Amino acid sequence: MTQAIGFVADSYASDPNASRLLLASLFVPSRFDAHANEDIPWLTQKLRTILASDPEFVLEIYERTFARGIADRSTTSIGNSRILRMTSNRQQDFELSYYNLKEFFPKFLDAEPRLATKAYVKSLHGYVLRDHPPERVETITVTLPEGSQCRLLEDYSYIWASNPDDRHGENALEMTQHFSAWLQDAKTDEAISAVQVICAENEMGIVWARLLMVAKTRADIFGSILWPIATSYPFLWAERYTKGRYRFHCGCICGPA
Amino acid sequence: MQNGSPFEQRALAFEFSDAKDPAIAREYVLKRLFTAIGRDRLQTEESAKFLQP
Repeated sequence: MTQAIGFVADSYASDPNASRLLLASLFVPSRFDAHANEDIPWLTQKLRTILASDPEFVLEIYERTFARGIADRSTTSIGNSRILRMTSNRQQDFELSYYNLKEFFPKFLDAEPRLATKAYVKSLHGYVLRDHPPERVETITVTLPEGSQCRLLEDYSYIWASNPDDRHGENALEMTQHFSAWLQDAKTDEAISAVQVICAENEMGIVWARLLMVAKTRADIFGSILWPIATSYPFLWAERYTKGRYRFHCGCICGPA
Repeated sequence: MQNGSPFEQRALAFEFSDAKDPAIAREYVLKRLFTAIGRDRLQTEESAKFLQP
């Protein structure tokens, strides 16, 4: 079956609809629960090929993979050596998928910045709810002065992701570094579009915190979008635990510091 | 110093009613906020008072 995933992905362009239907079936609960540790690492090695024909499906793969995990740690074998038989477990095998997604993320951002930003938001959402579920899953809706809305879920990431530059963190956290680095240098129109996606679709505190840290250095283009959010009561009140977000206030007012 | 910053007026109006002690929370958050902005850039006397030792 795993080889068939590769064949379908490699020939994706020949019939994108049929290919997507086949590969999406890997996420059907019955299939996923029984074989995700074999299927999804293979699928996530084929993102480059799929991206060329169906970038929306790449977004879906990010969302669906990060939303799920495998708790089962039953033993699996690596290779067929009779001399040195090595073993792994189902959970560890599946987690290779997260690594593949993280590694591919910069390429996705370069090719499809808006979709990749959506994938980033969805991935972090899945990751936080799965690995760091907040005690209170209460999303605060923030109504901004001009009438638009955004959402904030305090995820306590100032505790479990206190160092934004940690190079040995979880794959999802390394994606935040990739995204921040990309946003720092992205073309103005692509950067604004990405920020608009986050404002419309994100709720996780960690995504807001990382965004506002980058925003400080590009206050000239992000200031008008993010200033009302960063200075809203829920964001100011959430700020009581952290340092990063205030730097944005200074940046907004003074220009890049 | 003028009396015209909409942002400062908005921040000063926050009540922190969901804090255990709203008065302490208000003092703490607004002091950090206005300190980060800096006295020279504040536009209201009321904001500047938060920076006084």
